[in-house]
Amino acid sequence: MTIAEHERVPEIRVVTPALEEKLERMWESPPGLRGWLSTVDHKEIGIMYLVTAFAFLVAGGLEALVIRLQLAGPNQHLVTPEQYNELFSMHGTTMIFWYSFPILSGFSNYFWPLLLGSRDMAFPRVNAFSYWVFLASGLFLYCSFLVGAAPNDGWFNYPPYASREYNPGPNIDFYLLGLIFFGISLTAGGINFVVTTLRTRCPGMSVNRFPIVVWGTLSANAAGLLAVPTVSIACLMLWMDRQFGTHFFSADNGGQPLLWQHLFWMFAHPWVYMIVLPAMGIVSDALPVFCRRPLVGYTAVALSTVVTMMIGFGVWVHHMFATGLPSLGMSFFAATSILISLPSGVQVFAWLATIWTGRPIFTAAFYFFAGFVVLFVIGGVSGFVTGSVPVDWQLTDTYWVVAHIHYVLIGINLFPVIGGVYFWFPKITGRLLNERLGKWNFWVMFVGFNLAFFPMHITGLMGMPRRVYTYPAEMGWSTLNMITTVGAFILAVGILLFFINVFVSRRRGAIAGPNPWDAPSLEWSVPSPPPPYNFAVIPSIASRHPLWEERLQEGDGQSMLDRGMVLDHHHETLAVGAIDGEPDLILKMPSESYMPVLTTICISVLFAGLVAAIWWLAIVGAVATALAVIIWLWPLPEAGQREVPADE
Amino acid sequence: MNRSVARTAFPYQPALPLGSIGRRSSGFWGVVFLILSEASIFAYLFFSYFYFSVQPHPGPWPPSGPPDVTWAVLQTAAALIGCVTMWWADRAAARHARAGLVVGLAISFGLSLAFIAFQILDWHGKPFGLATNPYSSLYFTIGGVHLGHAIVGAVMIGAVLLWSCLGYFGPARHVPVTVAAVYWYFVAVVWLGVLFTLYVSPYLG
Repeated sequence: MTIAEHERVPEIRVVTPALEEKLERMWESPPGLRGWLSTVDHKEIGIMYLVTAFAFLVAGGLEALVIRLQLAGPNQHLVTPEQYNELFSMHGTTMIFWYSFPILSGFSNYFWPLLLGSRDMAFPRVNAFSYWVFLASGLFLYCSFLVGAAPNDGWFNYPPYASREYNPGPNIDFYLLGLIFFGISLTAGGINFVVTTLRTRCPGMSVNRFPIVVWGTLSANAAGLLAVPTVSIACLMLWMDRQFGTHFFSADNGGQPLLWQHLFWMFAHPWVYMIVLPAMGIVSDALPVFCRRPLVGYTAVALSTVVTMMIGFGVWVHHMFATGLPSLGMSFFAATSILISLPSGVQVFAWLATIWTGRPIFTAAFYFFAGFVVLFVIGGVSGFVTGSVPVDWQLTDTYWVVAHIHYVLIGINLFPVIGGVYFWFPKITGRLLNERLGKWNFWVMFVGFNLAFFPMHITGLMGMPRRVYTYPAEMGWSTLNMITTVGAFILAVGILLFFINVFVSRRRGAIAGPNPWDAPSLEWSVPSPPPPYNFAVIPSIASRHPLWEERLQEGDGQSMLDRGMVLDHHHETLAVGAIDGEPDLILKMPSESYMPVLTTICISVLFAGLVAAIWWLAIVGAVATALAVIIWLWPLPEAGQREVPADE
Repeated sequence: MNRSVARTAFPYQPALPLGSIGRRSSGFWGVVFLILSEASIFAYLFFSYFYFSVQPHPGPWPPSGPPDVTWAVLQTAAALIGCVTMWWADRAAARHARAGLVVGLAISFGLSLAFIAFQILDWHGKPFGLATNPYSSLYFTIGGVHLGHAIVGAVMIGAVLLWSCLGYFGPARHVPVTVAAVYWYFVAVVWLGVLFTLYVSPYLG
């Protein structure tokens, strides 16, 4: 057996302890800091994503609590108006970019190879790279607090207020460059998810057997590849306006401030679906487990996921109804905005039918998923209402919109995410979260959330504009704002209960075993926590629910989990045909590497140079990045990337 | 034993290719999706250009009249001939023709450098600068973002040329050559978009 081999008949065997031991030695990461910096294990990277994204949730949450204290009563002066602008801008930017998508990437990173029956993602080093860039860009954004100049123009950063003329400090530069920086992580991650779905699966994992969370994440990441470049290029253009005096968005000299709004929302509306569709996928996969039946309408739900994402590209103008666009254009975008409620409705009815026709088991995870359905409907209806142009004119830039966005993002992202942690925590750690504390966790969050955000609809209808620093007592908004503040703190206590539960149960929770919920998908067929190589042999599956096959009698055969391709020569996994899931190629996978973290450091130098306008530093960073990438991609014989003379 | 299990894996007789091979390699697929994402950057840039051109503006569009196309024609030639030589190099690698591979890549590398030089010469002769007006900002930004991609393409071709000289590639293992070729095709196709937007559309009225 030489490294020059170009093909091999894969060996088929039954799992044995000796094989497991051999794979364990081959695949495990080195211990300690060295292992942490060089790991390419999708499970470790997934956990790093989850922990970091929750840290950003806490940062954004603390900013929100300061905002709520400032707004608790009329004429308060807890913070200055400038500090208030920075707080709401950082709150929105943190939550929408650095928490809500990365948290879903965390789940997807950890679970995709397990769900798809593979040993790793298609690009393990790119996977580590996308994490490190996510972390570095988030730290870059928060460096703005250290220099006392955080972004201060909201999360959508409209010019002209964002232009140099009105905003001379580096505040906006941190936002613009931070988003471009983060976009690198999103693009790298997006490519990895798409190629992973198409290629690294087990035999028999055809497209009609994907778990819905795979459909959701695939749609989101494919959309990201097309949508993220808009905001990157818009940020580059606005940064050039500020730095080099170009005339893209400056109102003087013929610039078009409205073009920023177009480019931003062409990105940001697909983005809103990107940060909810994978979370809806979590519910579509996990809710049926607690209803003891398969999801009702699998095909309809999968197609609705894809269709929602596609229509999501054609609704951006509904954020701009109040900017004086031609009425024909507005009618079109109002129609598409209302149309999108159809695929959303399909999914809601599928979940309701699953609960209705199932035998629900009322676990904490079930509470979060059921609560999500309620919040999804409220948030969907408030959005549907503002899809209508005259109503939008009345409500735009009021607290109604703030209520809507929080119902959508907390309801459809945070509730499924926490439900997903209750569901998958036993797989990740081998221990169950405490159920009793979990139900307290749910009810405190659910009550706090509704207490905080439902009254905002009314404050909005009463005309309170969003983003005002304070308000006079005679406006009559004081009581509602106090209720909202109290609700926000109750919600925060609920989230604190979640962290306490995770922290305590990690060490003291009940031992879970491989499949505590008696769930049907592949990740539950391996031990908890899964071994570094995931599957000792590559499984082959014959149905959508490999662990429920005997009960359901579905599919045209029987899945085979304990016997299959061994692939134990190096780090290897199987590539399959994109549609049919038939074996196509044996992939040689990379081992641990410092290149992802080193490349990230080089890019960080580049962005530090750009934000400080120290051009030589930026050039050093750019050249170092190019060199790092060339070294990273240097073809290696052991990876099967270059020819080796036959005599070697 | 039933149909589907028997069909997929047990016993699995045909040998499977191993490692990084042609269009079945992960690297190839990754670059295809990278190109898809980068191509959309240009879609949004062209959208911005035409957005400006249809909005009311004082005076004609472009303000300084339609641009001179001399250098753009030369750039087009360099980009398209580069596609042919990259395709030839890729074929040569597959047929294990070392000389063809190295020569093809060397010519392509020269053409990519020529493309970059023509772009810089085009900019050099312009009477306006980046900050003169919205048109000039768009002109240099669209050209500049494309130039950035051409530089990446040239670096890729240069690296693959180096690796070919070191004798890394042969009939089975030459994915980096294929990837560099596909990337240059992308640079050339997007250049045609830039050509139409910046240099042809002003002449269409």
